[in-house]
Amino acid sequence: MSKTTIPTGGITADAINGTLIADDAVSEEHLDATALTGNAALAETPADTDEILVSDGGTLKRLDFSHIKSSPGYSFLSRTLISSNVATVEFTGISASNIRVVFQAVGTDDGSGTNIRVQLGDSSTYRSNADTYKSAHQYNQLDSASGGNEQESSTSMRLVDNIGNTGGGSLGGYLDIFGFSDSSTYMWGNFALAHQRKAGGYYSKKGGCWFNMDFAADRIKFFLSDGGDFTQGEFLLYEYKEA
Amino acid sequence: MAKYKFLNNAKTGVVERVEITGDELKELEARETAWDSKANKLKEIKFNRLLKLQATDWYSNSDVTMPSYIKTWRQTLRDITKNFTTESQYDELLVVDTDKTSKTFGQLTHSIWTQPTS
Repeated sequence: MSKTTIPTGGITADAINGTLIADDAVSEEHLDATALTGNAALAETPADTDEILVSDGGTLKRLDFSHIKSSPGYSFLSRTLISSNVATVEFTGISASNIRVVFQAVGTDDGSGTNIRVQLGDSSTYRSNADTYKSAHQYNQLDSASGGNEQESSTSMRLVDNIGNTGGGSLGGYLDIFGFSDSSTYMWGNFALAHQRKAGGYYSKKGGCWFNMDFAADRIKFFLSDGGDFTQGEFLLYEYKEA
Repeated sequence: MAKYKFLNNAKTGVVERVEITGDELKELEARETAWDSKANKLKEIKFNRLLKLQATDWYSNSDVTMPSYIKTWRQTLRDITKNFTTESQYDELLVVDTDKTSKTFGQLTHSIWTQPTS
């Protein structure tokens, strides 16, 4: 026969285990603040996979911190390290309104210099119609007062020209594209690069671009005008997050 | 020779080295064929020449007298396309200093590019 009335003194310490507590029986009135304050403090920003308890419409769930952290600014997505020669570097599966691609010590196999070009696309194709990619930039030689301006309208965008096979790479910088995966807007961008021309000199290059396409892009590729290979460097992809 | 690409799926973070085939390979080979190495070198020579000429344009100001050695040098630069016509001659003009310890590392070494001082 089970007992229905047990004096407090009749229960010894730690005698009640989980099997004797009814489901859903532990409510707020039974919880002491020390259930939280009695634990060790995590004295740093939680990892993305650290978990928080949340009531989802009345159902308790665990929530990864990654879903609620505020991270305005550039958020790293992916990296391609040129560990062996390739003709093309592509990022696919991108779902971001604003992206940045960072180029780090990129070099090619071209002994006389070639151009690095860019195209955007979606799952159907990379866009390559005439005059789709419009850009202009200002260049300045790092080791002299020389400089100038250039414009281009083409089937792809020339990111930088006369990149050669100098050991250690010949290009660093970034390309930003705004409205990338947004089908309701055209795509605008800007870039800032520093590079060594195979035909002599070091240059800084800053410019803007407009891509005459209003579809939601999900991929971007980089290739060389002469069909040659990238031989070194890294391409890093970031998403610009508002929050 | 087989050509490859790095395919980076930004969603999964998986990076694959994939052989380029089909239409994509044809397009790449067409680019290779269309690339005119000699024309590109000439373009670079003209680019460098333009910068050198621009750097001495100020000598043309009305309140400055352009020294004869600058006049001669500028004419020599303008005559580059007349006096250098083969791809190997282009290569000579485009040789750069490859000594990383040198102050002129990465700069053109052919004497034609050096602005005279007298």
